[in-house]
Amino acid sequence: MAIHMQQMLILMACLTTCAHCVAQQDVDTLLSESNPAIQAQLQAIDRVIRPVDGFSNNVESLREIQKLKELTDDKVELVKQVAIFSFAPGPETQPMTAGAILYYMQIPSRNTIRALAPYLDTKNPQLRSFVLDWFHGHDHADAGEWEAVNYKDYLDYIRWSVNRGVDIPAPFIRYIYERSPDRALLVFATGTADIGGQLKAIGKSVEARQQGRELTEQERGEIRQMQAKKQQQGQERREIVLAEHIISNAIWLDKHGYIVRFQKTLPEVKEALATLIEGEWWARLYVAWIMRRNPAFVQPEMVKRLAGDSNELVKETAKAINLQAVKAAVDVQRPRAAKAAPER
Amino acid sequence: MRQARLRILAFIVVCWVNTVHAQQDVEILIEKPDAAIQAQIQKLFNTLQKSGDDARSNIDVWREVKALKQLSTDKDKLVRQLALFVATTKSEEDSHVLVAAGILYFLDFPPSVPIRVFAPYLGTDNRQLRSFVEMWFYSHDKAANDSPPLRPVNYDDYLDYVRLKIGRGEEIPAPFIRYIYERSPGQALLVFAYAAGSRDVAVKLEAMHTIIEARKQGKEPEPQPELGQQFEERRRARSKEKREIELAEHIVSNAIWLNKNGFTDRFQAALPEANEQLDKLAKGEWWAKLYVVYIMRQNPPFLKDSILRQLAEDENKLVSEAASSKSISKPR
Repeated sequence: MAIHMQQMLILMACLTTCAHCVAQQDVDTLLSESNPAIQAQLQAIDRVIRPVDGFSNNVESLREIQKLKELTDDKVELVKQVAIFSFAPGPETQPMTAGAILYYMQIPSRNTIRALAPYLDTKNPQLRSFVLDWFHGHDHADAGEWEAVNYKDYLDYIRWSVNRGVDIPAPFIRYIYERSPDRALLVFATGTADIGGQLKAIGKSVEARQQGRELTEQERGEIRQMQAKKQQQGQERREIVLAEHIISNAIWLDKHGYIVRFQKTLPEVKEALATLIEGEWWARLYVAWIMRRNPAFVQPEMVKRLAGDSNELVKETAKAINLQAVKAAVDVQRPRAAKAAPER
Repeated sequence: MRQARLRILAFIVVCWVNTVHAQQDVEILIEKPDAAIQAQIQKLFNTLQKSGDDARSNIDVWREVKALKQLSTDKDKLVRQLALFVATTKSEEDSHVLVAAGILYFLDFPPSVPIRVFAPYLGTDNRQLRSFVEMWFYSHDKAANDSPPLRPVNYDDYLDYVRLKIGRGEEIPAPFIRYIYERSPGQALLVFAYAAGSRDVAVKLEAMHTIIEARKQGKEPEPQPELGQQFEERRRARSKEKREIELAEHIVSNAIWLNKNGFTDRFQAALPEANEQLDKLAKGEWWAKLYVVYIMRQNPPFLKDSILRQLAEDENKLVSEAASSKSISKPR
């Protein structure tokens, strides 16, 4: 018994260490990129900055920030260095100070997104607090229905990544879906359209005109193919946009307590989800998130299918759906719907 | 000949009266210039013009901003003086309007300040002031045509402003009401539906305050159970009305979305219910009627002449004006 217990403790210690190692990896990678000159200047700013006083009462810090900006033209690099500063040894308020410095630096959001997106799920508490504070402040996705939810820059970021063939970090994808699955779906449906192909087609026509010649048969064929692809993408996008609209409408009715109307939308919602589950991984990820959030939409066979998906993100999201809890929630809702008074 | 002359004279008088009326709001501003603040705004303006592309990193700019803020702790006053500066300054191609927008940005005041100061000037005839004020509102609410769904309209601060005004029993400037309805009729309707109960809350608080004050003076106020019941009944009625309006707006905006995105069959199926909601709203409060007018004007498939004619006779001037006008355009 004692030996068994000992083995368990050893195993636990090993697991904890491994988890710690993985958690430490992103921080170590970031630390290896630390720039001593920039870090020294960040310390200089730290000595003079008064985060709560506003710009005009921080003239001294602005002077120091100007010096910082002069150290490099690479804005993404500057943000990365501020991220390193956020978890450097210091007081508890260090991430907040880093946030204030970033705010005062007035760097375009696209650069900040590019630099911080990979660290959205870091296990380092200071770095996580710094990164999440920036993203929450940027998109306002939890501020209630009156505040503007801003996913426009996320769309730009995804377009930028897709056009350059750069991987979109998984923590970022997780983050935008968790905050607002509907907007995340629209961001992907819009941001992943093959703009490159369209530009190529335009480029071919322009090139031929500049050379004073007609398009060759092969070029014409390629352009036709690209146009057909564009049309197909347009049609697919239209279906996705409508599916999202149908589902959002149902969620709104449910949230506002229009039970009868909500029940009437369910067959159409089912159809919309069935369309999306046949789509790209980002459409399937939306389905998984919607089911995770809205027990009434859960269909066990779809959850099972998603849990075996080839995409890791889809798989992990679907596996997190607790089917038993969902059944319990739906059982509670059903009598409510039966008793509901007719709505206007 | 004489008749023609009279007509011309009448035309001139009408134009003059309109101009005088439109100028009044600016004149009220001009009456109250603060020499020190105006001088500092001019100084900051000059510094900004010299600062080059990255004014945000310019220490001199921040120093002047600080000096301006030190002249008054009254944020409304500073913003009003800036508006006066815009209205009275002359510059090539009105470049000072843009620079003034920069000054407002550097002042970094909460949105509630520009909203309450600028709201009355949204319809001003002073060209520079109008551009300046509109520029601020446009960038604040982001209600441009192409914004939703990734960057939807921000009417949060407008709701706070309307709530405050109604709670205090103050008049909400007509240009502001016109502006928020023209930009986003659905959000504007919800702003009023949500803010409508603010006066009741204020009255209830006043009644509670009276009771507390009486107790402090050792008096025992007479119990007024009917007052509590009245408040409760009104609260319930408001809550029911709010719910109905939320649903009506949802049904209409759903139909608009289907139409805008070209789902014609679905739109046709949604149209009768949307029309039914508009008919109901056209019999509601003035702010619900105003919504109906803007929806019909901005979305031709919803247009019903009979309703517009009825609303053109409405006792509320904003409603009757909007219903009679042919000039309501798509949201700017």
